[in-house]
Amino acid sequence: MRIRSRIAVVGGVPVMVAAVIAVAGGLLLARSERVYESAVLAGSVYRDVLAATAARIDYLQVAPADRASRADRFESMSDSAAAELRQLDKAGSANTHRAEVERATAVLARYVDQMRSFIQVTAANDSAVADMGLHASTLMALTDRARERQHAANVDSLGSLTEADQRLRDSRDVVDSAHELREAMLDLQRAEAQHVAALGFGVGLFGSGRPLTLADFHIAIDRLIGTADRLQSALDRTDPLVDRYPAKQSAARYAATVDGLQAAVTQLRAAQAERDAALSRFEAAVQAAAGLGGDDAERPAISSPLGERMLAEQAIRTLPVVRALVLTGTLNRQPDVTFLSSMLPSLRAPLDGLYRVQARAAAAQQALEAAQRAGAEAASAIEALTARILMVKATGYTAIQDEVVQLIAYAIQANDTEQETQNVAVVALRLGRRAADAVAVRDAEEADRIVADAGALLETVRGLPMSPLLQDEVLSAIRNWRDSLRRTAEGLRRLNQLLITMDRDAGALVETARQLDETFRDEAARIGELLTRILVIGATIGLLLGGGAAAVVARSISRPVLRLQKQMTRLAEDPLAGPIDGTRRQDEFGAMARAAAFFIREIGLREQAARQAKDRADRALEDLRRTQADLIQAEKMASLGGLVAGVAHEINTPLGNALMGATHLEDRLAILARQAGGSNLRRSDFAEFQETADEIARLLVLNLQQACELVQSFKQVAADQTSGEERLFLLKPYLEDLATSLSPSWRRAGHSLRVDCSETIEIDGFPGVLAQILTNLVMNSITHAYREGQRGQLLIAAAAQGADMVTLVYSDDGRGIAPADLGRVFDPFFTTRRGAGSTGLGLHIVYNLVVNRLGGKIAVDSLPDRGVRFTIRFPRRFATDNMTLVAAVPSPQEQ
Amino acid sequence: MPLPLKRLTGSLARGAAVLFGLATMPGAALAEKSLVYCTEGNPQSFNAQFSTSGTTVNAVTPLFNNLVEMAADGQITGSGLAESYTISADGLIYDFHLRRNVNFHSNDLFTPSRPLNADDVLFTFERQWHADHPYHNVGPATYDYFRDMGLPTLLKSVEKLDDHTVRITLDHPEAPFLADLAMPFLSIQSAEYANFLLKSGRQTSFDEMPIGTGPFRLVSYQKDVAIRYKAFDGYWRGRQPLDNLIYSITPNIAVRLNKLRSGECHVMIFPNPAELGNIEKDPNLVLERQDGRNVAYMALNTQKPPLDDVRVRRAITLAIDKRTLVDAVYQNGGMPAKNPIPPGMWSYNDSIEDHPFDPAEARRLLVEAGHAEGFTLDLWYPPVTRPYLPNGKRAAEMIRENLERVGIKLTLKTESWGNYRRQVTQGEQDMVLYGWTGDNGDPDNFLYFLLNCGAVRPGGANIARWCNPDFEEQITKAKVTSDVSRRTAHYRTAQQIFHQEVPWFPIANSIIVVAHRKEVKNYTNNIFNQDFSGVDIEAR
Repeated sequence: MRIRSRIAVVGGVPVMVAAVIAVAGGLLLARSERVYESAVLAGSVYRDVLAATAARIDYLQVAPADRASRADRFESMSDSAAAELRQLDKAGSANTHRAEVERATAVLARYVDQMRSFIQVTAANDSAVADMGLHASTLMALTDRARERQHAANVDSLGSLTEADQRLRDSRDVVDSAHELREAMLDLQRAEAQHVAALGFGVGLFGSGRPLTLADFHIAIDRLIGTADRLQSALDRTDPLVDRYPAKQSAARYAATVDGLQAAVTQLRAAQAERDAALSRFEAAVQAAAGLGGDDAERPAISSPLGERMLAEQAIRTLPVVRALVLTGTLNRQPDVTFLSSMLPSLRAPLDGLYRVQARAAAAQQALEAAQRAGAEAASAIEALTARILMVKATGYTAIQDEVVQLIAYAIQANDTEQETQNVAVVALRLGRRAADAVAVRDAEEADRIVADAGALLETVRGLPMSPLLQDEVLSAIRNWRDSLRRTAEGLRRLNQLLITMDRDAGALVETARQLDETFRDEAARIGELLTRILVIGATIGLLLGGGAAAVVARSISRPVLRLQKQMTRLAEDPLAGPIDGTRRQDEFGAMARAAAFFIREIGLREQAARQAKDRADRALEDLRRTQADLIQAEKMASLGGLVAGVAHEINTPLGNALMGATHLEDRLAILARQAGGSNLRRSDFAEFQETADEIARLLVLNLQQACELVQSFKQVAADQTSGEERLFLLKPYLEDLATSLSPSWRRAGHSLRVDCSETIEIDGFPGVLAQILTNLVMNSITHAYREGQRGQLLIAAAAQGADMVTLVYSDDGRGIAPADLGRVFDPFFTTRRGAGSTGLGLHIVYNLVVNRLGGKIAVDSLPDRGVRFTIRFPRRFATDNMTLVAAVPSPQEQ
Repeated sequence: MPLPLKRLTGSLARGAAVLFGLATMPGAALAEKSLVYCTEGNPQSFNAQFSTSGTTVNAVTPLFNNLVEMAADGQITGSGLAESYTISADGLIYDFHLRRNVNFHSNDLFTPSRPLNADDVLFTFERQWHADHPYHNVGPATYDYFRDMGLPTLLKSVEKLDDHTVRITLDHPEAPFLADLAMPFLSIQSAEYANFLLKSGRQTSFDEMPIGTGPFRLVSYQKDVAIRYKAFDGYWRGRQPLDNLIYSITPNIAVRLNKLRSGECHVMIFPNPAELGNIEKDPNLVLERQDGRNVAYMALNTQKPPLDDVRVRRAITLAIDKRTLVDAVYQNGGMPAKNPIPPGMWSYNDSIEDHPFDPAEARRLLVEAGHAEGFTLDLWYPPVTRPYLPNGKRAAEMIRENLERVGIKLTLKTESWGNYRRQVTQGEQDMVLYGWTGDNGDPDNFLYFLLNCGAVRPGGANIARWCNPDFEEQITKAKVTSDVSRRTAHYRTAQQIFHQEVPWFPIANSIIVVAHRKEVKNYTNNIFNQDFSGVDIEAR
């Protein structure tokens, strides 16, 4: 049996077994993976649904303004759950669970729909609640207005009351004055009566029995006039119809009649006195005539005849009658009484006198009576007047009192109303609070109760005797509030229903997702177990079978191999030392032995050839190294050539210009000399020459300066690389000093330069190099980066990078470098502004300094119009080994 | 799921819009124009057929229209519900051509299905006229005005010629008949509404929840508080500038003014004459004066002793200081009256010399009549301000003072206004303070309505119970002719008879004053037709 067959047997058995296991395992693994994926999806669904539910719960609890974010979260969560369910549905592994997945999908869709209605209802509710707030504040404003209005009305009431009070006072003044007038009038009337009565009884008695004097009357009249004046002025003040109450005239009229009466009384008195005298005279005459006169004085007269005496005696008898008649003023009506007396001549004269005085007394009496009548009329006019005033004022007084009573009643009622209005506001506030609580806990029944209470409040307000306009507004505010609340209550009810169904759906969803997850996990676990079992059993069988076969085959193979090995080892030292056994065997060992024999011989031959070849190669390598050095040198020379060419070109331009200027000057000088020699040098010519010479001199200076600068720069590039000395320094202060030293340049251009560097970076190297680098960069920015007048911001930032390296970033915010030019900025003589006098060496110098002197790297990046950034990385400690690192840099750019 | 979010934001936006709308709503609500009219009392009814009181008329006028209308100057205009009318040569047949498309109001109970037609006119007459009409006995069933104006005997027939033509035939010519048609008791009611209520057995609602064609419809009535009206959108003359009309019932004259000043009401009825000066000074208020075409009087019950004796009536007339009374009670708002009709009215007999104030003569007449010891009488006075009498109580008190001086003692009595009106027409009282404002500008409306023999009955307007054949002859003759000069002659003679017989003590003819706030526009003090049409209010 050939080894191949044997090995095939030995290897084949476990391979077969392994293959079977692998196929089964592979299948199972694939399935397991799918199942596991499904489990993961189901888990995600579970978590998403939970998160969505949490968002929904949050949605209800946060302030209305924050709800949108919760709604978004709900949407995203439910979206992802839906996506996961779709994925789950697509996943083949879910075939057995498709029904459940589809149900879950349907429930989720319903859930999301409900949430949308929920959001709509909540939004409607929120707006209803906001409405309620609005109406409530309207209501408060209205009750405030009601109070203000009431207050104004109260003030007005007070005004009306004050005015009514004033009118009452005025009325009372008038009434009092009228009473006084009437009293004064009555007093005067009484005095008059007494005065007149006194005519009969001799003296007028005034109260205490004191006889009345003229002064008493004056006082009484003054009082009458005074009270009339007062009444008149009170009427003037208070009554527009004052003309209808002529108190003063009446009083004056009455006063006048009193005067008239007094005059009449006086006259009457005089007449009576005269009458009495005449009567006495008459009686005396009669008695004298009768001779009875006892008086001596009468006696001479008694010389009358007897007849006369008898007649006189008769007349004496009539004397009492005559006296009575005279006193009553009726003497002339009884002529027969005095007939006897008239018969007596001696009596004729006294009798005539008697008649005369009696007539006078009668006239005086009549005058008195007329005066009395006039007085009575005047008095009754006053009486009528005061009666009229009293009637008008008393009824007016009552009317005003009624008005006052009504005003006070109104004021009280108004205050009650105000109180009630206030109560309405309080009740409304309380209802508002209750409503807010009910809405917060979504208690629709409580909201219904509050709606009912608001209805009761409406009724209360409707019954209030408040201003109808305000009442309407208050009613509509309460009604609107109530309607909003009713809407809210309906919304709450709907919300609660939605919440219940949503909770149910969410529960179902979560449960389904959890079950799916569990089922998938179980399945995956089951597959895993099966796989393990297959692996263990298959491996055991394969191991046992393979092991047995291997042991037998190994023995038959190992022996010839060992032998061959020994021989090979022996021949290794000298391949040509001897033959190999068993080359004649027919199996693989024979072939092997033959091959080994051939091999060993071949090796022996080739070793000799190889030694010769190595010697040749060594020589060729030596040649190669020399060639390489030559090539490098040549390249260097080429570069230098390019450099020199560039320098030459750059310098040539200014020098050429200078030369041209100098030549021109020379010509002009010659012309000038000629003119001067010929003495025809005009002043204007000289001025022109001077101008030209000035200009040429300026040109020369400018161009030569430029050439000098170029040379200087070139020196820097080429020769100045060793300038400065190496030392240990702190980076930050150094950079700051540098920035300061550069400040004339950037400050003049209006830019700012900021240094941003940590305090602790210490450099051991050439500070002069850094200075050159940064100076060049800054000058570069100032020259190129900005338009005229633009103010740039330059930044030098440095940071340690690890223990040994420093990163220095220089940036500006200027126009940047065009992408096409970005790769060439470090090339020597590359410039975009040659016309403006740039040499194109600045960045090249920088590059060389960074790479050769700092042993670092420089990179540039830029965006047009965003500025440029140079990033320089270099070791903190300069060492010559750094150069090797740098030498490996293939190109000046690092992108 | 972008869609629902969009919808959500949409609904949020709608919510915001609603909120915004609500925020601007109070402004809109304020923009509603409401006019508050402070009146003096509760209406007795919302049907002027039952009550002749000015308060009722005021409350009813905005709700209804009449076939013809009375202008502010008392002239009849054909601008009412009748587009035109014709009168036959003999003055007996009146044909009224009704306007088309005149809408009735609707209320909670009833929505009209048709515009005004002849049935409504017929219903208005027949309810008051025919005792067997299904509505005749609904409510108080008094119809005093209809009877006191003599319509039951005047009307011969009211017929419907077609839907929009009504023919009224009179028994005899009656000059003031057209004027009667302009009066509130003949404002046109809805027959359809009446039938509707009849079918549902709710006839009593007819007068409580009135349906008319007027510029305003009734919204609510709260006794002692307010009557609320709203502009009727379908008013045939066009909608009113006002949105709401509110009668704030404020019996107290001082409180009314207080409310007017504070802006709680815009128009105030009957201001206190004593306050007119102050009102005039107030820059926020405006006074509208108008000859009241009214008379205030004290009716003397001519059927009750001792007032049945003309000497006693004359003595009472002589004993009262009318001038002082009018001055005190009316201030500048009235003139002493001497005739039963106001001075501005045609046929006013100015040649009559009023009885003087002469208590002595009064006393003499009383002694002559055998009442030297005097006697006691009742005097009833109205409890509320009337246009013709601002303060009945004060007038009564002054009359009492005057009469006491001639030996007549008075007992003052009153009642709530509604009861007062009812009681004083029963004929039990000795003397009654009362007054009358002409509804139609015709002397007939005073002389016949208030003093004819037919009105001497319980509930009748002839409170003096005075039935004088000579007077009756004059006023009846004046009624049947339309020759104004002849009518004038009759009425002048009637006034002479009145002057001699003294059934009343005429007190005063007053100026009607209405005070309103400055922001009230286009208000005219039309004593015949206070329906607030055209009245507007400027936002303050």
